[in-house]
Amino acid sequence: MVLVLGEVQTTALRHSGGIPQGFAEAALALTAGERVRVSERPISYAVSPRTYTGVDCTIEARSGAKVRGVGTLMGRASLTGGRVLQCSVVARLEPVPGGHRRAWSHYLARLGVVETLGRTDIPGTAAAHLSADRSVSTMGMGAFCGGLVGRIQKSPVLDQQLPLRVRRTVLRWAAVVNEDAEDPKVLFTVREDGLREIKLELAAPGAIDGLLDLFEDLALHDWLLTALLSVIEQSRIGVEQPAQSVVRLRPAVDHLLHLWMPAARLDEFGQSAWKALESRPGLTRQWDASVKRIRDQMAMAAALVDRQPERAQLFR
Amino acid sequence: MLVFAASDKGGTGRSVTSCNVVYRSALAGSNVCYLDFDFGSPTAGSIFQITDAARGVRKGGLHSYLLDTNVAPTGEAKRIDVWSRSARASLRQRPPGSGKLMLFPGDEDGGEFGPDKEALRRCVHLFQALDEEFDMCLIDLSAGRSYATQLVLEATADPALRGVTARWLVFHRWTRQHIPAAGGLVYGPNGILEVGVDAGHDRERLRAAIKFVRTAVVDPDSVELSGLRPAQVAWLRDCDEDLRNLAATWQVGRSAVIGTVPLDPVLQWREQLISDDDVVARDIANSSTVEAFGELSRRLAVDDDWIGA
Ligand SMILES: Nc1ncnc2c1ncn2[C@@H]1O[C@H](COP(=O)(O)OP(=O)(O)OP(=O)(O)O)[C@@H](O)[C@H]1O
Ligand SMILES: [Mg+2]
Repeated sequence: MVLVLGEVQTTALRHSGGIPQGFAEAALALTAGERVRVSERPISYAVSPRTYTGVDCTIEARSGAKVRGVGTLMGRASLTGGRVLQCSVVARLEPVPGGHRRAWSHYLARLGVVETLGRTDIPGTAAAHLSADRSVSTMGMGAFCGGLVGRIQKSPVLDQQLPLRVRRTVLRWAAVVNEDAEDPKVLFTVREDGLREIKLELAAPGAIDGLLDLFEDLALHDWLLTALLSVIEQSRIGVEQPAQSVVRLRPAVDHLLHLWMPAARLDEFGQSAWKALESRPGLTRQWDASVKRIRDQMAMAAALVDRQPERAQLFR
Repeated sequence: MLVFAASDKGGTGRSVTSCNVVYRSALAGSNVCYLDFDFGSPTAGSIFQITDAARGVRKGGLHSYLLDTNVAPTGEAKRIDVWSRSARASLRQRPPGSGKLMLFPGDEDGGEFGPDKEALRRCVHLFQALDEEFDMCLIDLSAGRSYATQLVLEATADPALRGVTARWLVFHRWTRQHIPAAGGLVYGPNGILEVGVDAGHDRERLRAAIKFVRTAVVDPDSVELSGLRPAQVAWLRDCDEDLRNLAATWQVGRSAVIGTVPLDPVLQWREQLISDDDVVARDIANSSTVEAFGELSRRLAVDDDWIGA
């Protein structure tokens, strides 16, 4: 059994509008001399070069059993639509016999791998990673990921104006590669404390990039939906006059609505995983309903705009 | 926007006023949070009536978020949703149209601490992340010249927070001892301005971002004092005049004041949030107190009241 663990943090870029591709490249240049990859279709997208950090830490399984882990975490950052920033961290755990740490050169030759020294409870480690409190994270993945977000958000090319205020979302995932597994199984949960978790079981490991693309795409759309719902909540529909609510809904129209494109950049494997998620919890269904609600509010405000009191509200 | 609540002396009403101000902002629809940076005695939990965090939390509060030496596992600071977790029934009915009201508690076994590069780095990250989420983050600092104050001055001077508005409220009582103390905390040696300039702030801009709040003020003309004899009222007026002159000499005078909270019978008795119900239905708190909290919450967000900041 092989275990790949990761975390994705998603947030609005600290910039008032979508940023041009050149700015995106400057903001995402995490590693000197390495290129930021960009694409324009079907949606503008830029991804940073990979960056790594060394770890030598204790990894705890759900049972409380501990094992020492040594190696490197891999991180990357991406920007979708010039607006949504995502940072990802990932590591493949590989149990090795014997309890001795090797020279760093050994670990540097296997970037993105953390070797666990001794017997390792793979399912228990996956469970511990997913169920941990938000204030702790396996191997310090959360701190590394948050550090990347912070670094990019302070980039001098950004004007520091937030287009809308939403909490950063944190999605933790665990992919267990189990040769005996049949069809890939994917389970997406939103915990009570807001943390998102995904458990994926699959038979063949595939490329890490494919996994990262999948989880980032899920995290992206989950964030878009979360942000949309929060804008709707803050628009005080039913509390305010329709014209006022529409003004408050504007950030959704300006910054969110055009970004919904589930699985647009994913390979076949990613597409099938999305399909499984669409039947339950059905992100697109909720998105469509929310977008319809916004359009209805706008239509109603437009219809009322010729009535004097409403007009005064809108143009005061 | 970040709002720092400071005072030179303890027991000025800094925490109670701050809690009530964020509560008023949330009622008005803003998403707000309260960060308990009074590491020695984190009491915000008791003001919001969070039963299991009355004196901070056992694990994962702001103190350990900033200082836990075990760097690797640090994720996020613990947060408590006041609307759903307060023991006060009237708070648990979150009114429609209100904003988030979140408490970031301190730790039970916190304590003050000294300069720490890693704590500064984490503090910057914390403010940056919370500013992405909240319209206003109010940070309650401990009384006097604490390292917490230096820490946040250094954090707000960091380039990562250059786009984030930061404002200061300095609380003091309306007495002969408190007025010079408040002035000294801002303008005096090792005061906010001096430490701020050392941290990289522009002196004039920082100065414009600092305003004073007078707490538990007795107004000689108020109806509550209508039972006093004319000689007593005249004497109170003289005292008040005296204090106003004193405030002017210490640069704590009218133009530097952003709010005045009257002495309130409920607050004198207990540290708590004052709900509209306490004023209207139960008639135990004064409406002028609630108005003062509301006014302060509004003025915090009015840029014209903070010109130059
Ligand atoms: N407007 C007011 N009228 C009457 N009493 C008040 C008023 N504001 C605060 N108090 C009371 O003053 C006392 C001190 O208030 P509080 O704990 O908020 O002060 P503090 O400045 O935060 O103190 P510390 O430095 O110990 O943290 C409390 O008992 C509080 O209820
Ligand atoms: Mg206090």
